[in-house]
Amino acid sequence: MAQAQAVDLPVRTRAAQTERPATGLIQIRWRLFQRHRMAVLSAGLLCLILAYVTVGALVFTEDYANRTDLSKGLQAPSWQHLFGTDRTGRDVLTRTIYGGQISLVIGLASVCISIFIGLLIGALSGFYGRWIDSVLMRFTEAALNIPQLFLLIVLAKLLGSRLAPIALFGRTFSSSMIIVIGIIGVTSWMYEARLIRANFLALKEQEFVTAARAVGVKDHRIILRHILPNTMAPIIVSATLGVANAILTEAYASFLGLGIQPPTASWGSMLESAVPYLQAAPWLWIFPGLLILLTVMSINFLGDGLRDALDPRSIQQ
Amino acid sequence: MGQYVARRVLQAIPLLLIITFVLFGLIQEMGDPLSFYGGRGRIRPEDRARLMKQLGLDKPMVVRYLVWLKNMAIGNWGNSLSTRQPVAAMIAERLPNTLLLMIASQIVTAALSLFLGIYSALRQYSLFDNFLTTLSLIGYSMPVFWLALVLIYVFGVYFKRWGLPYLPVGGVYDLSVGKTPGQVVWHMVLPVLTLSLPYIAGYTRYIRASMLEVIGQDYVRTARAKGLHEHTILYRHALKNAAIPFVTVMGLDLPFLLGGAIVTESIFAWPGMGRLFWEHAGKSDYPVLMAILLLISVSVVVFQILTDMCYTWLDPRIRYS
Repeated sequence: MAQAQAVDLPVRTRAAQTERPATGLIQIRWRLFQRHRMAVLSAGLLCLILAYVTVGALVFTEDYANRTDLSKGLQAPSWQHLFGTDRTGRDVLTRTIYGGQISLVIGLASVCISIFIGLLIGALSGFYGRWIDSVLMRFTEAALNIPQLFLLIVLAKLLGSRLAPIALFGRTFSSSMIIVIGIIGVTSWMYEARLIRANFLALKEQEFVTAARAVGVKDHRIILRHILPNTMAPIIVSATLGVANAILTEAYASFLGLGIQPPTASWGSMLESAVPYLQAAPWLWIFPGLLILLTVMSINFLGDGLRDALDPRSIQQ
Repeated sequence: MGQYVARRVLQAIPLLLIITFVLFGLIQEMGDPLSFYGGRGRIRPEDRARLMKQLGLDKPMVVRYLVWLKNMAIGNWGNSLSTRQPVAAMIAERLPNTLLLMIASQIVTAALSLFLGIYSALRQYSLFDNFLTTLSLIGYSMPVFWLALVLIYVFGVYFKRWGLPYLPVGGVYDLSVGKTPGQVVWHMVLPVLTLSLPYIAGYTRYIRASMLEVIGQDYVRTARAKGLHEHTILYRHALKNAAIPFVTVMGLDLPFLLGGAIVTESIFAWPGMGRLFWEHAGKSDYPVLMAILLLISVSVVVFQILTDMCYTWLDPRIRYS
């Protein structure tokens, strides 16, 4: 629930003693990041997954992903269909490619929303304090009091499919995707808001803010140009980990049948439709599940590495 | 202390009012509570109007909220809109199942993660530690329902195929045997495993991190210098301080468990609170849904206060006034 990574100590390898001293800040950050071997590996793995869903889409068309052929239903993995076929004879490999696009887009887009809301609430609350802070923080607490999945079910049922499908990047996305993105964003900003508030509270008392105020810089400029850049590091880390959580949340929502509606697939909805074939066709759920696991895992490792690299305390070592 | 608790409870009341009001408003629009009244056919418009009046659904949302609030305040949980059963009885039927599952998985989680976290912190950067850190991040990243599918496939399907004693994959007990304690425990194995593994992964990381931080501190060195037994140093001195972040997360997570695990309960056909919520979610059945959500919200507040009390025991420097 609470981001479990938040207090974890870095896994460091002790290879760094012999390095020449790094000069620039970016170079230091890069060195620190490199020390986190799993993070580097994960960044590579993530690139591979991205290539899988993008280059893969160039090889297989979306029509092919949705083409049904009942005579080829539920075939086990073979050279022709590496991940096998589903009940209606669709190629599972191709569907994981297009489903992966959806899962990743949902993960990224909903984090943008949650960071935006978290930033708005956290910054206002931390910067202005007093009654604004109490109102916004009570609101945040209220939102935290309900488990995300329950809130998600309520919102998903509420919105249903009240929006029209949209076209983007030459693909038609069902409106369910927009709803899912919105809902995940709206139900997961609370930790970001608290984090950003805490940083603003600490930073607004520092001299550079007082100096900016003294020369008459406007509030919104102090918030956006002076304080925000100084709190970017934790936001980046929290956003990275947020993408992993959003992908998982989407999978849960889809698993309950609340997420992406057919014919569009996501990794989560592929898993959902595979449940009846748990025993008969394990390839239907093994591959999408593995892809979710690998993606979420590498994003989590990446976030861990980024935290070590961006944490100012780790530079002194 | 009593004053502090009283203040916290008073502070929680407006919070709970806001939460319930917002949720009440959202739930009204979730679906049609009368969709099951017509049986197979469609419900006639005049019947619908009559039923709406009978159930009080024709009144404005705010009025319904106030009526609901008044009833809750006097302990009347109302009847389900769709099944007409009393909500209190429905929850009383489901809550023990959920609690059984949740308490068992929390005990497994706490015990294993404490053990693994401490063990791994004491051997920082060893092969075991690196292995466990990696493994815990993998476990933390795993979708719970996928884990459930894998477990079912291995222990339910494959064990059966190999002629090994296989585990049941759904329900609370075997109908042919009846509800004996042994049966229930046997049926709990897979759901408990599914629920605990991700938590174990998360908590182990917490405990390892806070244990490492505490072990390096001066007072632990002092304890060593005094010649205390290593066991005493670890469990009486270090662990008590290291447990604070752990208690915080537990305090945040525990009340949510009361709501049950919607996904896990669905997969393992476990008749708990999560499934109750899910079954009534599509019908806008607000008496049932609100009762469950209120139960969770209240227990979040209660557990937060309990967590704060726990701090004073773990770290006597923390005082509330």
